[in-house]
Amino acid sequence: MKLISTLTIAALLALAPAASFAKDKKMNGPEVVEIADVSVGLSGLVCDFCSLALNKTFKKRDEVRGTYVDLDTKTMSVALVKDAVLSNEQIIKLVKKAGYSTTKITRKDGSEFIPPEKS
Amino acid sequence: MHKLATFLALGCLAPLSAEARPVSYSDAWTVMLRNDSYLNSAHVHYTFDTRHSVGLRLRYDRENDFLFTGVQLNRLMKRWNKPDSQANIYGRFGLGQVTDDLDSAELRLKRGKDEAVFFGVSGDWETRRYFISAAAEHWEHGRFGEYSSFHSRVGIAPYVANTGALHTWLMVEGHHRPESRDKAAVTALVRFFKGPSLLEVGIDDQGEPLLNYIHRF
Repeated sequence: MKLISTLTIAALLALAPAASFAKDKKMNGPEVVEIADVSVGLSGLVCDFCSLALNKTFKKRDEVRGTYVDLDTKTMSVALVKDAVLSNEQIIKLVKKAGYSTTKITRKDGSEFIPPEKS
Repeated sequence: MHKLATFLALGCLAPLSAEARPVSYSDAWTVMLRNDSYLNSAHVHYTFDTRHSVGLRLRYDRENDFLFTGVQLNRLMKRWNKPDSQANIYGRFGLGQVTDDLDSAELRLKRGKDEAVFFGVSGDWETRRYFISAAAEHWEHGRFGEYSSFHSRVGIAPYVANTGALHTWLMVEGHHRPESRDKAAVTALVRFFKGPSLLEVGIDDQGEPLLNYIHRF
């Protein structure tokens, strides 16, 4: 029984990555920086797991076409689908949901928003 | 045979580290495997909100030949996000059953099976260059006795890698296990980290290997 349980778990683990990647058809490379509508400054960003958390959290939104997290600049570039909008409050909430903090939001039109300290 | 099958399954198919960050992002699955001279441990968990995850925990005690199977709940108690660093404190609690895993019926100590409970706390501080962590766990195994472990780890990245590149860390881990035959040990290890996967390979001061793996989905 123990062997069957262990092998079942192993099989699920083997299949899970394929299922996970199959769903993700959105852009996630550095090319997103060129077409980004929003640049989000972040704190707490120290590793690739952080990038993964932010990418996955944002890409669940229909408004998001692609994301790219740059550990060197501590920013996340977000490309939106045509005519879609993500408000500053929504961005701050998504960053928090991923486990991080927003330091600054910069839009393509040059406007900037610096959230309060606890964001 | 039973023991061998369990060891192979835990060690080869599902390798993970139980003391790394046990809470991911919402709706994420994580596989964490730890294998060293004392134990083979697997923890598969689902993060259901920013602060909590729950999952299956298997822990094979290699010194005393028994297997824990149970449920583990993890809580991110506090996180500090700073411009160049992150620090966390985690708590964990588990409940399950311990079963004897000796091969030969003649050698069995007639321990059978018993309920088990454990709790633990861990903390870490990390920049892109330096890493420090500490963890403590206590297990009550009923007839199988109790077990405590204290770990701490320091690490340095010889180079700072950007997103998607291979990240490499050189680390030293100290262990103190009061109920074990070898109460203290030191392990030197190398951590390789790329995208959703983290692999650790090391060797302790007795020459015993360490192999840990984490994958986030």
